[in-house]
Amino acid sequence: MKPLLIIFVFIFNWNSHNDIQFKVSIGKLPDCNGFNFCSISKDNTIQKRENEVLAYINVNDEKHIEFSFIKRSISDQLFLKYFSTGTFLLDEDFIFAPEICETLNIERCKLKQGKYEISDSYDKYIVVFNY
Amino acid sequence: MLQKWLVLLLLLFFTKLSFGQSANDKNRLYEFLVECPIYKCNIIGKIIDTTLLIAPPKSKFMLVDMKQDQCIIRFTVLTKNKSHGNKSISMEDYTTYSYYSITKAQLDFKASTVKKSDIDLVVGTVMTPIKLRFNPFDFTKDIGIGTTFGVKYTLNQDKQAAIDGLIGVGISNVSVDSFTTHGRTLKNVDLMAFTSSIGIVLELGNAQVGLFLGFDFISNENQIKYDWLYQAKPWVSFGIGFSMFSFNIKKN
Repeated sequence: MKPLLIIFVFIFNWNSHNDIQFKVSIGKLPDCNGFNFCSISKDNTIQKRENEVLAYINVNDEKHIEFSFIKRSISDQLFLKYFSTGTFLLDEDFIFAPEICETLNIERCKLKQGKYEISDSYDKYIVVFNY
Repeated sequence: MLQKWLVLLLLLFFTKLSFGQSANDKNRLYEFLVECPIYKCNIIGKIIDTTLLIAPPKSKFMLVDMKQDQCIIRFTVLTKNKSHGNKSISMEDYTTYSYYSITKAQLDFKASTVKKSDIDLVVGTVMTPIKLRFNPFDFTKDIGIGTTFGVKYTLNQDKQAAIDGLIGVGISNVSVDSFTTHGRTLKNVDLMAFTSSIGIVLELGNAQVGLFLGFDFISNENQIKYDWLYQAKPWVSFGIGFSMFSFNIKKN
């Protein structure tokens, strides 16, 4: 019974970790118009602004964080500007808000600037950032 | 006999050329070279949103359909890294596709086809105007021409830098004299020789520089007659400016 309980808890934790959906505002402060992230929040309500997309964020290892942007949440304008070239540009380092850092359980809360390849994965666009 | 060889080589060259062109025509993947105005439409080309959108340079798209002056396209993200599972186009969620309309003129002037891999097959002609022969050292202007084929690896697409590995066969015109025939002839005689070679060509823009290593074989009859010193011995040649035609190999 005990091993089954442990497995159940493990699966539940693993799933819950992967199911956290974030609202990612693409752009650059202050007007959210450049090539960076304006903000990342845990708010996953359906209502969202033009520059916001829904994404799953997973920590792959101690150097890489994977963003899975849900295709259906990406507007035409956002897709054309940020995804259509196949490269996601982060023009300077992005620093996570402390609560996001805590949620992701990472110590270094900074995505490194750079050009990142976008992978097409069925219903998501996946970008693996260095942090 | 030599005329037959030349005809055969020319036929081989043009057969390869036409194959290359037909392979290129089937390539429906394009990339915008400059920004382009687009309108959202459905799969049959009916505009469903009159909002003017702008496709950025380097955005990749598939040509889905073409109707008179209208082209129906959809954007695609090319995936090089396969660590996230199977990313082949057939595995995409087609219900998420969005279609856009551009004109045929925009397709012609603002977009170009995208290569699916860095490796191309190349075929064409290579001229080797000067040959360096060894043991004993000699350099001659034995002009050779023939069909060359091989692979081309693109080092940098933006700078048009590539390196070709080539294998060639062809016909050469070799001059023999008393020195190279151990005195079998006292005057210069031009002979035809079968030539095989391998080479490396470095391409940078329109400039092409190559290094070739090859062997010349005159006919048995002529070899018995002249005892040519360089029969089947290696030569080295430097070449500049080649006429090469390439077509892309799709990566699976």
